[in-house]
Amino acid sequence: MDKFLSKKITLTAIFACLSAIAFTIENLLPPFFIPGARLGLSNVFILLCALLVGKNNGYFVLIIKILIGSIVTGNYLAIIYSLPAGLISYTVEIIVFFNVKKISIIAVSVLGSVINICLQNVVFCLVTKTFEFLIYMPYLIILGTLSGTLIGFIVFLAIKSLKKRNNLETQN
Amino acid sequence: MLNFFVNKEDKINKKPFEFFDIFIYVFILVLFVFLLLFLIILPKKDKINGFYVVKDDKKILTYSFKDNEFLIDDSWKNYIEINKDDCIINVFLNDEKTEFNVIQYDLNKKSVKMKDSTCSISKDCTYFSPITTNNNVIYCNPHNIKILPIEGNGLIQPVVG
Repeated sequence: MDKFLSKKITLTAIFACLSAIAFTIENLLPPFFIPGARLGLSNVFILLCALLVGKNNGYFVLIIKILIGSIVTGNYLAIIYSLPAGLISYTVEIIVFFNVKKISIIAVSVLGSVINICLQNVVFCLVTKTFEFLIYMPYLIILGTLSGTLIGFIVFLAIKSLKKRNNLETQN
Repeated sequence: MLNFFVNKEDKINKKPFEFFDIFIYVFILVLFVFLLLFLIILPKKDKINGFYVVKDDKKILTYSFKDNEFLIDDSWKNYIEINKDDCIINVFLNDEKTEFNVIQYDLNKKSVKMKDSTCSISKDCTYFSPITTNNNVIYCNPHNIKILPIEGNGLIQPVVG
């Protein structure tokens, strides 16, 4: 039991680091078509952690990613926008994925991505009191769908290749 | 590695597309159509007659395309430089003039955009589309500067605050 626990903690920490690094690099790049929008590749590691390690460990990765990423990039406001949206969208993702039988990780990733991006826009409008930004919502939904599909595919392919490698190892 | 950590391995033994995916995609499509209709297509969009710049919820500059006149808040007169030939407004945020936002307006197209900024590496505010209608706004998050449109008959509104 101790061996598994230390492995879980180590893997969670690795996913948290990778997620924070991806978040930091994303913030250095120009926005993805719409100001403030990012590809969200850091979410790949959150989903992978949830699937490979545990649902609760995914929360840890999410929080660490946002906190460390905000500190490193100097964008402290990201904590206000990203944290509530990230927690709610991740909660929806794990509820849907682990309770609905016939649903793919890609669709769940798309749902989470759309919820995340829309909630961030709503929080941004409420904090800055500029409700004109709500007009970006339809475009953000398109972006969320595209990025969610990409992230979902990456997670699906990663899991598939890990399973293949695991099967090869057990055969040997 | 999977054998150690997977609590419910059947949950990840899945195909890329499953039956209930349809419900999610339909929900997203309906949401998209609803928002597109009520936020973009249906609302009335009027051309702008000017714009004003707000910093920390305080109106610091007002401009009218019709009169081609600027109204600047007294406390900001030393921090705003206007170049009418190039249609450029420099808003400096410190005495050393190292932190700034550059606003560019177009008299012919009646539009305004954020041309440059020292806010961050990615300069997100410069990627906003130019404001040409009354339902758009440009916001520089790190500097807390907003550019908002003026509707109406183009009379310069008094600077408040």
